[in-house]
Amino acid sequence: MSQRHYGEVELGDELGPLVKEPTREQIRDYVGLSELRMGRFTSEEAAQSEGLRGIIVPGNMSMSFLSQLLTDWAGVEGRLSKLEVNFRRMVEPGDRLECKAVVTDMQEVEGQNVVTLDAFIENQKGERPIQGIAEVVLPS
Amino acid sequence: MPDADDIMANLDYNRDVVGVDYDVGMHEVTEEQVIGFANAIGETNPMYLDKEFAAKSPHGTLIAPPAYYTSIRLESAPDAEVKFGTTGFNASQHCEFYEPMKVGDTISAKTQVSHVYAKTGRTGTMVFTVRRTTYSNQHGRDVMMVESSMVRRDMNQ
Repeated sequence: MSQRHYGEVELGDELGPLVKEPTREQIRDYVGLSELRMGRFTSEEAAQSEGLRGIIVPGNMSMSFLSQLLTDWAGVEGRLSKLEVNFRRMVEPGDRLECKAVVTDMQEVEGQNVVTLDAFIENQKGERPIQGIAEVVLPS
Repeated sequence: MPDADDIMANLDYNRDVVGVDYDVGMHEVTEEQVIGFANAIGETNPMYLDKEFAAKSPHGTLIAPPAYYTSIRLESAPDAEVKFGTTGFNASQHCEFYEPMKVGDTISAKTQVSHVYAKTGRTGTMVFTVRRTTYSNQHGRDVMMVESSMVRRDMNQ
């Protein structure tokens, strides 16, 4: 992995897209590891009984995709220090998700190089089911 | 339509738990779970997947991706038990990461319901329960904090 340095980053730099198309099997693997016990993620019947069209992708799983985009960009010596996301729409298996981010601010805070980004996921309809803000600390 | 203040004044929920910290257990960060989580997400970063690479990194061992916390099973803590709407969804997650969780770490977590509030918008009234969970390692250092907000709403509205 190549290492990104603070001096190479400019306002407006774009990250991604990191493309994800979560399948029912991947959702089952994720749910099996996680603390989620709700049927809406694994059973069409359970999801429909809650008024949904069918199985949905856990919000935390989509957030994990966004985290991957940011930590891949930060590299081994950088780190994700903050991630704030709002879940605005359902994500369903088979959706094509593009994880993206844009650099909106750069500041040195207490000796650390902090890059602020708008981070979001766009689906195949151009909607943003997940929208948020991230901070990444990079080496000089 | 009743406004958010009316909803809150009459809302049936457990007010006693708001602002009270509860210990919700310990978690051993294992190689198996870190790699399992990384694979479930489709991570390719060798810091999570390649032991030899990780051994030579500044961390000296495999670390967990930041979102790994979503795979940690916590003991259940008393809930605000909001009686509103027909179903609940994850509304937001606000995370602060202070240092990575590493394979071999023992993580302990404490949690509290920090806030319950109602909001009325175009699609009707929603009630939010905000829970703050702090994770610390065996050295007594906080490694991360997450404020997760669950929203309850009436899907028939």
